[in-house]
Amino acid sequence: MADYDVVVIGAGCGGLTAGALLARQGRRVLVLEQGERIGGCCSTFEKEGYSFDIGATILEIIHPLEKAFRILGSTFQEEVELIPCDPVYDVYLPDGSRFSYPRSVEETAEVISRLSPEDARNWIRFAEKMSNFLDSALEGFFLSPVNNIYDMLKMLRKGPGILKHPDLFFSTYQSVIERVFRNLQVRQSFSYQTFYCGLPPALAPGIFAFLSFSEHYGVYYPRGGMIAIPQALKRRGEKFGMEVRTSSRVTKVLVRGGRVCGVELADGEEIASPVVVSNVNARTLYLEVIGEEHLPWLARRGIRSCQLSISAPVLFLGLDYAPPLQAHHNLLVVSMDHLNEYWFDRYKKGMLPEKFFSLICYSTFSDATLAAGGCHALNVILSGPYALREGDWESVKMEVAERAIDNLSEKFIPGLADHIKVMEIATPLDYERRLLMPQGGFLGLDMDLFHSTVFRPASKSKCVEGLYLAGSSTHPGGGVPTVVASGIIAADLVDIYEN
Amino acid sequence: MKIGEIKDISAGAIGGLKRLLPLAVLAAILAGLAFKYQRLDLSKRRFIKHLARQLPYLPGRYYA
Repeated sequence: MADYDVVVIGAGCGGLTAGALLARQGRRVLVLEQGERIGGCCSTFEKEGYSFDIGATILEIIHPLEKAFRILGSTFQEEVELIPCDPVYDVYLPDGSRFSYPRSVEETAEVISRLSPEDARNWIRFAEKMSNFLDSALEGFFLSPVNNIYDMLKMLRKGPGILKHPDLFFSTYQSVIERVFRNLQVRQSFSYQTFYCGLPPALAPGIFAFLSFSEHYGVYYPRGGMIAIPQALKRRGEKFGMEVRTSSRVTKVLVRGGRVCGVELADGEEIASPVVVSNVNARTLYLEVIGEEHLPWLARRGIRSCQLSISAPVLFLGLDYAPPLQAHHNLLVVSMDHLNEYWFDRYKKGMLPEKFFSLICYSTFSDATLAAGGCHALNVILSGPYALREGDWESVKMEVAERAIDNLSEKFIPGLADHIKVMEIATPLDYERRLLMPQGGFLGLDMDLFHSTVFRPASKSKCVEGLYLAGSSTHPGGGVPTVVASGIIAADLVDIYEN
Repeated sequence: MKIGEIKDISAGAIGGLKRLLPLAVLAAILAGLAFKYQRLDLSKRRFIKHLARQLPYLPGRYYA
């Protein structure tokens, strides 16, 4: 007799979504989380009165979350108070100029027209094209399983509009942006978004050009920090009987006769279950937690070949003043060619960037409750590879933090260095140790064309019966709305195949 | 040499050429693609190289 109908490994947003939806289907569900806190990369920690988001810093494309909470008998807006972020971001260019992009497409065109009237018109056309593309992708791509060619055809039938944009599939992010916009500053203002899919502009597929538009669909910050989202999923799941156990690390998925039969925890406890949903990185899951011996040789070769996504050190700063920033998200950008140079000549060779570029998330700009008494919190997302060519992260991290603070104080946030009360830096190594994200890759696996759809580890395992995948390393990929979508897909597939 | 023998040789040569034709067409296509590739800018060449390197692993990824 099984202890549970479904065991979910990992209480990240993907695992919690799948767990809550499966509990809603009337199944006995246990979610096992190795850490003390739920949410994985979409979580918040507290240090000396300041709250900092661990990974994800904003929320956009909320449709999958709205769908999940609707199925769970509530609404997303009822469960999580969403604070709209407008402007969607401020851009700091290398020449020292700064401008804000408002949420409204038309108002953004006005901002762009000050730099280039021609590009303002191009922006309007681009926004319309991306809006059509995104509408089709939301219908088909985000919420459909894509385990094989037939699923892919079904997906295209649901959202045929995707096929109206073949130019996006056969070009790069860089070529799309450069084709649309002529002005160098406008191009620079759309350069950083390429890292939202973990690739430099020269390697990111053209379809990701939607990232430079999707913020205008609406960017939100959950009151209480990003952890409010997994907390709401947990709360809804528990209403349907879902159990969540923290500090419970799964070391083995038990497989008998090609089918899962339960899991084994680090303390030796075995929990029997005919269905396992994994929110663990697929490489770790197949090569370590399940074991290569259970994989056919072709699948083993495929899993081994999957590249882990980009990593980045993050600096958490607690301040005793209000920094002179005017937006929740602040992009300190460089040109697309510089981002490519960083990727090919430094990141891939284990070196830190030469030029400073960064994403500063000013969470207390949106939600003042995250720091008490007029204090403020910043997350500064820096750049750096997992494996350093010279030295190791433990020995260089303070130097990296100090260099970043000097840069920020000097060029972007006057007075910053004198107002830091709390400082912590998390390196890719820390993300690997604390969140079990291999090499600190925060999007799971690469997000290029050959790590997407049918080439990304399948939501319904093709190697082990009764095993389902959720999270960033399966379809549709990394990011909060996408991992929530992966949880919806996993729950749908369990409903179809495990009755 | 008899006429019949000449016919046999020429038929064999034509047959051989016919067999070589697809290879010649393929070689021409590859040469054309290589020429076009060389004329692409660095950014596009990197994109294609990045994808081409992964081609051998696609069957494995499909079954994973």
